[in-house]
This record gives sequence, C-alpha cells and structure tokens, in this order.
Amino acid sequence: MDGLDLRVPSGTFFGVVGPNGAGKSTTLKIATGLLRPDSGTAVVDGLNVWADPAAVKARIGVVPEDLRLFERLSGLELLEYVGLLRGLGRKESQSRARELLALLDLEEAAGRLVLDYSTGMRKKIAMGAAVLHRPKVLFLDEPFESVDPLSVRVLRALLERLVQTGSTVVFSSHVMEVVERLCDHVAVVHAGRVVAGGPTAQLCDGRRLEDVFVDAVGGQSATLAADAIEWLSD
Amino acid sequence: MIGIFIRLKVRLLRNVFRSSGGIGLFLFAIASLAAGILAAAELWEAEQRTREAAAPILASILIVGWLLGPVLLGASDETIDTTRLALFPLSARPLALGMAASGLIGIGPVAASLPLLALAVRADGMVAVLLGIVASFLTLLVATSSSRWLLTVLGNRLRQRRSRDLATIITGLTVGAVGLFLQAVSRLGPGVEIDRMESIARVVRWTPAGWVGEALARLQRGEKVGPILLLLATAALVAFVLWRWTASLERALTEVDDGGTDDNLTGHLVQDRGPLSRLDPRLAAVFAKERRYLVRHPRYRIQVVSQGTVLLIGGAPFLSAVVARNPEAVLMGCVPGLTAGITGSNLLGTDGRALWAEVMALPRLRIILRGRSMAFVTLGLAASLLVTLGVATWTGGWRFVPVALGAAVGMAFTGSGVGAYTSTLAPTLFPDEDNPNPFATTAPGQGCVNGVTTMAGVFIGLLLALPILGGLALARDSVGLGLATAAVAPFYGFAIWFGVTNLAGRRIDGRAPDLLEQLASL
Repeated sequence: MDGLDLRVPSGTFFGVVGPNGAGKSTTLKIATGLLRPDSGTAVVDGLNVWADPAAVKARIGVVPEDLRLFERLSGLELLEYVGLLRGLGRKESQSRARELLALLDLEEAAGRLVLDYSTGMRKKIAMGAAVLHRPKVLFLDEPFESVDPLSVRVLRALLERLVQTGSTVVFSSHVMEVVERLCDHVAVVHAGRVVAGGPTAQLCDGRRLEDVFVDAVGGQSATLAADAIEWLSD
Repeated sequence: MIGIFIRLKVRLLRNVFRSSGGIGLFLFAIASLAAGILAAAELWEAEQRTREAAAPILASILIVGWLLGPVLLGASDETIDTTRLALFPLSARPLALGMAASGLIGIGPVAASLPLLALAVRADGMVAVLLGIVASFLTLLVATSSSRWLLTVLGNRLRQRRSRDLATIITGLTVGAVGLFLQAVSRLGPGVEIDRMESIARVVRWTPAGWVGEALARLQRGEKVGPILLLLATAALVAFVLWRWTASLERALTEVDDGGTDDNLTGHLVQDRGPLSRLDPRLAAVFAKERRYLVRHPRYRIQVVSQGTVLLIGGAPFLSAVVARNPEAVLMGCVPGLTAGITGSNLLGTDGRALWAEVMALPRLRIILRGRSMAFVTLGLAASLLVTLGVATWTGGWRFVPVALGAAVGMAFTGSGVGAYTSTLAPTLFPDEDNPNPFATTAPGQGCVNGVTTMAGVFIGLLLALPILGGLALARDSVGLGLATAAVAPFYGFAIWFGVTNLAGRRIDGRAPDLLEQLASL
C-alpha cells in the first residue's frame, strides 16, 4: 500500500476495482483485521479496527479471495459452526443455516463435506457464513468468481437486500460490468493508491466503467495492444 | 517429444531448487545420493554370495517402491500429470515415450542407479559388465514406466477424496509397521543373515520385479545365456507396460472426474441436549468441530496411530507386567491419557489455512485452543478407558480401575494443556487436502521443529504429572490413598489444563494477524 485513503459511505454498495497486484485484497484484509498495517488506521462503523478488533469483527462479515474453509465439516455443520462462534445460539444458528442453504440452492449438498464442494458452491457457502450473523458491513473479495449465473442472481439479491436494510457491502472485482451494475460507489485502486473514486454515475459520466478504469490506471487499449502482434492478424 | 519432456523435467527440477522448496529438495538429494553411494560401496565390497542374494532383492525393492511410493505419498511430478497435458494436441504413444524418458531424469533415478551399477561393474567379464549396465537401465525403466502406468490407471480414483484418505492412512500405518518391524529386527541381533537374504532372493527372483535382479545375480558368476534371456523377458515386460500405458493414457486424457463423493452427513454440530449443551456455545462448537475432525481427518488418525506406536515402543518395558498378569499393571492405563492429550500439540496449524474464519468470528483465540484441546482430553480418556479395562480384564486387577481412571482424567487434562501451549510455539501447517502424504509439510524443517517442541511437551507433561504418578505409586499399597488419588487427580489435571491454556491463550490473543501471516508464509 502507498498511503491509500478510502472512505466508504454507510449503506452503500461499494466496489473496489484495480488491476492485478494493485492492493485490493490487501486493503480488504487490513480493513477486516486480518492483516496488520505498518502504519495508518482503519475505522469500521466508527470503531478502530486495531484498537478494538473484537467489536469490529462482531459487526462485519468477510469472504476472502483465498477461500479456505473447514473442509471436513458438512455445509450445514460449517454454517452452524460459524453461527455458534458468532454467539447466535444453537437454535438460531440451525434455523439460519437451513434458511441460507435453501436460499443458496445448497440444500441437497447440506450433508456433503465442504471438501467435496465445487468452487462455486464454496463461494456460496462462504457467502452464507459471512452473512449468517447479519453484519453491518460485508467485505467480499471477488465474490462472483466461478459462480454460475443463476447463483449470481441469488447472491446479488441477497446483497441488495442487505444494502436496502442499512448494511454496507464492500467488494472487489475484476468484472467491470458487475461492479457498474451493482455498485453505487466505486474506487479504482492502482499501485496501492486510490487513483479515482466516487459515486458510480458521477465517476462514469456516461462512459463505461471499463474505459474510466483503463484511463485511471494508464492502460492501453486492448485493441491497440492486440494489433501490435503481427501474426495474430495473418 | 522425448527431448521436450526431458527438457521440461530438467527445468522443473532446476526451478524447484531455486524456489522456497529448494532446501527440502536439496536435503532429499543429499540423503538419496548418500544412501545410493553407501549401498553401492557396501555392494562393491561384498562377497559374491552376498551380491548374488542382494541383486534380486534390491531390484524388487526399487521396482515395488517406485510403483507404490507415488501412489501412497502423492506424486507431484508435473511431467506425469495427465490433467496438465490433456489440453495439448498430443497422441498417447509419443506422450508415453516422453513421460517414460522424463521418468529416468531426476535425483531418484540417479541415486537408485548407483548400487545397480556397482553390481553391474562387479560382474565377471567385460560382456557381463555391459549386460549388467543394460540390466541396471532396464530396472529403472521397469520401475518408472510401471509406476507411471499405475498412476495413470488410478489417476481419477486417486483424485477422489476417499482414495486420498485411504492412501494417507495406509502410508501412515505402513510407516508405523515398518518402524515396529525395525525395532523388532534390531533386537534379534546385529546384521541380517545371508541365509535369510538368500531365502528371500529365491522367492523374488521369479517375480517380474526380480527377473532383472536375477540377471544381475547370474552375471556375478559369469553366466551369459541365462541373463540375456532374463533381460529379454524384462524388455518384453517394458514393451507390454508401455503398450498398456498408452491405452490408459488415451482414456485418462479424455476422462474427467470431479473427485467428489456423495456423503450425506445428517445431524447438527451441537445437539440441543446432552453434556455439550451446558457448555459455553462457542467452546462447545469448537469442541464439537474438533471431535468430528478427529474422526474424519486422516492426518489426525495418523497422529493418533503414531502416538500409539510410540506408546507401544516406549511402554515395552512395562508390557512384561501385563504379560505376567500383575494386577498393578492396570495403573499404567492412565498413561495413554497423557500421551493422547499431548498429541494435540499442533492445534493451530492442522487447520491453519481456515483459521481466518475463526479469527473473524471469535472475540478471543484462546477459545479455539480450549475447545480443540478438550477434544484431545476425550481422546485421551477413551484411550485410557480402553487400556485400563483391557488390562483389568486380563490381569484381574479391577480394584485398581477407579484409581487408574481418576488418574487418567488428570493425565488427559495435563497432557492436553501442555499440547495447547506447545501449539502456540511452532504451528505446523498441514499441506492442502489433495496431498495424501501424511508426513508432508509445507516448509522444510517444519516437522523437525514440531517434533522437538512435542518432545519438550512430553517432558514437561511428565514433570507436571509427577504428583499424579506419585499418587499412583502410593495407591499400590493403600486403598485409601488410591481413592484419594482418584478423587484429587481430575481436579489437579483440570487446574493444570486451565492454567496452561490460559498462558497459551495469552500468547495468541490479539496476535491473530501475526499468526495468520506466520501460517500463510509457510
């Protein structure tokens, strides 16, 4: 990171975009208390992440990019486990786990070990675990990668519902179309800094987000780059 | 194609040496080459009779080891992974030849060829030496091609979770059994008798794996016709293996298996009723999860088996008391409680990559330590109960059972507490689930560090358990003191467990990011 300054308005659907290695995942890890910064502060819902990590973690949900879960638990057991750790109580954990499994179309796989889940199913169960305690702020790193279109719809509806009811969703993605369609605010991160940001409509100003992104990170047009390779045109 | 595969193998080896895994490979290279040179020197110096007996055994061990090793330990050679090659427009025959050739490149083949060449060079006459060199080459070719054929045939099945679990357990048990076997052999006397070697050689030389070894043996005494026929038979075997392998490759390149299973695990993590429902829900959840892992995770099972093996070896002097039906032997039933408890000495590393989920959900990490170590307390109690009742049935020492069980509770808590503290010193990250090698680590030296800390844990555990052991010694002569020990030991053990897990918790509470970074860097 290089002096990154990012403000996420409460109750927004906030997208963090940037090229590979820009610092998106690092930003989310620092904001969620999973990675200690060398300097600087991270504040979530008015609480300093590093001064009161337990209070912050109680308010947030996370789906990290490197998705490692408890592989030897079944899907149902995993959700119950997370619910109990979050202090929901047995009955509440069980009923919420069942409801989420049904919503995420994982009911039939509820008794299978997470180890045997496909990548898309793992994303969905991780999303379920992240929202189980009804977090105020949800941090998602590439949440729609490897997820089928039907499930993307369900996940989008779930996230939109959270935002409508006052939660904030922060997610990083490489897929500009998804960010443009979902997010009301966007930040473009490049080389550890925010190089462009603001309300999506204002930032794009009639242009596509992809073009805004390419301009902001100083990338060349894909068409021009491909044209430079002669044998591709033969 | 052969050239491409050989270059690929050389480049992959070079890259591994340059990467973080290079130290591990370097150590493997040193150990393998040293073993190869020592074996070669030993055979070079050996008498003809010994060389003749050793040749079929050596060839058989190499071929069978090459055949089973990658299956059980998880082959990681990228040049033989058909899933990486399936997208290229390659037909099976050149692919098989390329893969067979690349199999002859590497540290293993070099180390294995040294003793074979020592036998070849000691053959009687120049022609015999040349034939011996051909035999050495054919041995490696049989070993590598049959091994790759087996891997290709089992390819999809090996990717299935159940097969990986099974391979992990079989490997662990095999290593444990070999350890016990070597212990037993070492007590029989120094060296292995030549007569025994010859009797083994007489059997294996007629197996396909032994043909080429038998050829080497006969070359030692200057025979030519017999060895040539055996080498021709081995060459035909190689041709057959390559032919079948080509057919298997064609299937492997077009078949895909997701490796999943259709388990249906019903039931909730924590039941609404029962002893767990009275615990703090978070603690109960961690405990319930860990208990499931003890049953479901093959690496945990191997840990338990390894501890059992250590216990058997370490407890051998006491077995005489059991054999002699001494009723006091029942008191030893509490010892498995201590050792099984200490088995949980890597509570943070075994599931290290998923630790972030617990870090996010829990206010304090000590809950993880306590919940997980409680699972090892129950493991220790189960082991102690089994041994105590078994020994009591055999010796008739039922009057010592209450003391042994009371002490077992104390010992299990003491051992688990020590294990929990040890866990915070050097977490050893288990490799990813798709690696069936139960002894694999994610960084060189990890197992060594964990072994040292565990040994230190055993020592400290024994020190902390001294009051209980003292009580057991008194219980031999006094029923009253025995009952007092049975009553006090559980409270003593619990106090130790509570205090030590508290200390361990202090070491990690608030250090979650550092712990995650430490585990991520492994």
